[in-house]
Amino acid sequence: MSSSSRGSNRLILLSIGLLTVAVAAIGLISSPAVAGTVDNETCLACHDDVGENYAMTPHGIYFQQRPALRDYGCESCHGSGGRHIEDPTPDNILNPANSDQFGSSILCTQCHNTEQFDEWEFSAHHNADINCASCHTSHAKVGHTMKKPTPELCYDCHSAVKAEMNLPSHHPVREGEMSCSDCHNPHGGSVSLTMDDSGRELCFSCHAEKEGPFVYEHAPVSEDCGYCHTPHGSVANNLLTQNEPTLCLNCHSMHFHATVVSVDGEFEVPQAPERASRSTEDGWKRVMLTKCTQCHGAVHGSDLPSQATSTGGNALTR
Amino acid sequence: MRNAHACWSLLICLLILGTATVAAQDEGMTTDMTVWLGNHYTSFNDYSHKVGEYNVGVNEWMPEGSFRLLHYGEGKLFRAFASFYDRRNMDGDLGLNLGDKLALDVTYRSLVHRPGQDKLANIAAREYFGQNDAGEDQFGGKIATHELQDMGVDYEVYRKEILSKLSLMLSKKNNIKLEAMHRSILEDGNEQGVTTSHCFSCHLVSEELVVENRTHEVQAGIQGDVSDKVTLGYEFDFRTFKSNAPEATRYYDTAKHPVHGGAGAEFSSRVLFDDTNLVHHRLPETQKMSHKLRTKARLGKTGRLNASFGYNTAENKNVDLTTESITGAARYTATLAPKTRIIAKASGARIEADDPFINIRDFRAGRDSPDYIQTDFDYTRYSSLDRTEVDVSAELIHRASKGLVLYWMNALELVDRTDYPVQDDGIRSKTFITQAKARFNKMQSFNGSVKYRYEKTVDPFISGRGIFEARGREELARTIPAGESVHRFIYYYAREGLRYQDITTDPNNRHEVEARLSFPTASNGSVNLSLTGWFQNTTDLDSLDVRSWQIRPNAMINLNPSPEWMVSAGYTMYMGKSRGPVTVALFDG
Repeated sequence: MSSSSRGSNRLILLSIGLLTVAVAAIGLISSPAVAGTVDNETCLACHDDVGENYAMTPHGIYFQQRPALRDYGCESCHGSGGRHIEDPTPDNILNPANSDQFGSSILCTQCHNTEQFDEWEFSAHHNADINCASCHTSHAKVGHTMKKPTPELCYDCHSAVKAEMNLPSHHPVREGEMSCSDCHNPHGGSVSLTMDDSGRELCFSCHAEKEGPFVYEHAPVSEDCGYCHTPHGSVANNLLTQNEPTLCLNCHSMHFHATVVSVDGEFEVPQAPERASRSTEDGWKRVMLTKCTQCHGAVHGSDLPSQATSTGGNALTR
Repeated sequence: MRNAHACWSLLICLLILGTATVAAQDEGMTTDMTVWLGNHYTSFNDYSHKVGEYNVGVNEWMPEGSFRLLHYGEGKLFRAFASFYDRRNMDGDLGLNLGDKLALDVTYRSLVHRPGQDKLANIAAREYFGQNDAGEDQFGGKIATHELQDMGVDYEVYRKEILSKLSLMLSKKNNIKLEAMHRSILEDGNEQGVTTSHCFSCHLVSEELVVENRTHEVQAGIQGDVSDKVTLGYEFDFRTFKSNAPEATRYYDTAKHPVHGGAGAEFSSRVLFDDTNLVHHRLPETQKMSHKLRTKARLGKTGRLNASFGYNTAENKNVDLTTESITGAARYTATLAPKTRIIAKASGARIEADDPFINIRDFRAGRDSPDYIQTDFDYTRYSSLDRTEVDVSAELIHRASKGLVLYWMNALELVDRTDYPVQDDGIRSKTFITQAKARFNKMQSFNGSVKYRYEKTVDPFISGRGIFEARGREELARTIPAGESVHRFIYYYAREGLRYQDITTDPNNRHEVEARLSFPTASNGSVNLSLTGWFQNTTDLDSLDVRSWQIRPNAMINLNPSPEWMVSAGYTMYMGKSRGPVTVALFDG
């Protein structure tokens, strides 16, 4: 079959072969029985809305360059149309848009198999039965194959993220300066579809100045940026999960000059009686209204020692 | 006033803007071109700058416009896009595709980020002890003063990014492809820098710092098929960061008693520096390099394996510190039965960082009072980055019926922090995750899902400095030699090492539920309802009783009456509560 067609023809034939296998496979799973073939002209006689733009769609352009597919492009994705011609109901034609993960994307990835789809089968979208047609429309002209522009397309399902993006501190997605795909790969990424599995690496790709390594470290930076920041939006400044100093007090005790609370939450008489007046509710108020980063500004790490000897220079004040 | 501005702006923009679309076809090639012209006026007279964090406007009319060109056909595609909002908010994109032989893409975008916040906001200016019996306010002796050397400055950073990508097919025979990427991020502007001397001078100085950050990244890779079923690839990544901003310095005060101003020599002996000018803000020059080998393979009839192995280094060139890491990952999926799939994943990483020796002056060097003890604080800084991480998971996916898919996932995540918080005795966190999900799909009427997830963590991450110290003080008291007159408040630092370090506010139990429903409407519209919530608590130490929960109901309607119009309206409520002896959630939103 392919002895005389090497080079570019070989690729075409391979594509046809793969498409045939895919269509057959999907047909076995969920399509009506194959019964005869029909050409594009027959299909477009009824589906004139598709025919209007067909020649200017990516698929239309691709098929026109391949003689073997030129006249039967519709069946490449929709399977044999003979039975649909006899009884033109939706049940009698394969529609990849209506298939789940056991169907449609197997068909699409037969051709769309470049490295950007390497992780598709492991992706959260694929696992959630989001098929290609959920976001793409294959009958639209070049440049218009997304059902909607992002981020609106993403917000259709991720409406809670849209709400977060409207909080006072946010990445500039709603302003159009960033898109969801700057951090997320809709075709892959096993953890929240992110471009990189590690939250640190993803964030440092733009915020490289915070990666270090530093002489004086802040341990949560080594763990995950998500300890302190929430990426989509927050009430607190700088995408912090909570405002200062509440956030810092999740891990750190209050400053020693402020006040000290014991394990069971009761106020204690301080160790030095002459300073007993400091351990009061006013001390609480003071510490809760001061931002830690007013003095400890280098929270992501620093090479410069801070002033107090007793902290070993590790107070991240400069 | 604000609304009036908005209304006038909208009205005039609608009157002035114009869109022109031209399409032409010529011998198999099609050209689509769209030009959009308009203008905008933004007044920030009544706005807080915070609201305008990215929409930094100017109080004048500004033209804006965009241009889009698509020229395609015969397997070729050329596209150009440009958008102008103002001179510091511009986007551009040039792309060229020659079938599957060549793909070239160059994008540019710029924005201005104006944080709109004052780091000195809410500064507690003076010790306050409450009111005396006569109802008079009582203030302490210490006072925090501040000095604004940057009065009236609106801090902002102008960010520009250029990204270029190239994909070149070297050989169709084995699908050998060369890929390259270059990215530059240029950030210029200013930011607020706040510095302070130590306790003897609660004097905060706020000044303007110059921002001139440069990030450059180059990536190159090659991949090809080594057989019908196996593809191999190699990727190299090199990234540098450098700040060209002048180093900022300040004068650090002469040490003295914070209240009466004396005892200079004593206080000076407790700090690493005083009465000197020093750099207080310096971003290190860093470079990062990574090599990655990856493969994908078809195994059996339906199996697929993706695997990668990487070696990475990150270097701080200012202080000659290096971090090395080795990473590996494998993912496998296969159809076990016609209606059942499995996805198995495993990944691991070993990170090792240099451990510099911190050589600092002795605490109270040169002081000989018997009430105080001279102490050597030199130490080796073992890195919190040193660690081994292993993640494994397996998920079964079963299509129970045409409209119902069931999921069950189990995962185990291990983090062995080698030296954090204690050398050679780091925290070894183990997290077990189980998740069950059902997704139902009646295409023409509705679809939805229900999910439950449970995470159990043994020994979660903690702060190395701990959060409690009451009992630690008792421990400290035993370390003080009997009969010695020791000023105990000097020893607050020592409490750091005596705190309970197995206490954390990180949860070790987390329950998560999620329910979603979506009803399609006419014209690609939809009505979406969802309810998500979680509850987490810490049970490592009962007396802590840290717990928090959150519920988020959400409703949204999307309407698309035509391809040009999208209308959406939604409502989301966040309800949550956190409880902890220390973590008072005053501002958690």
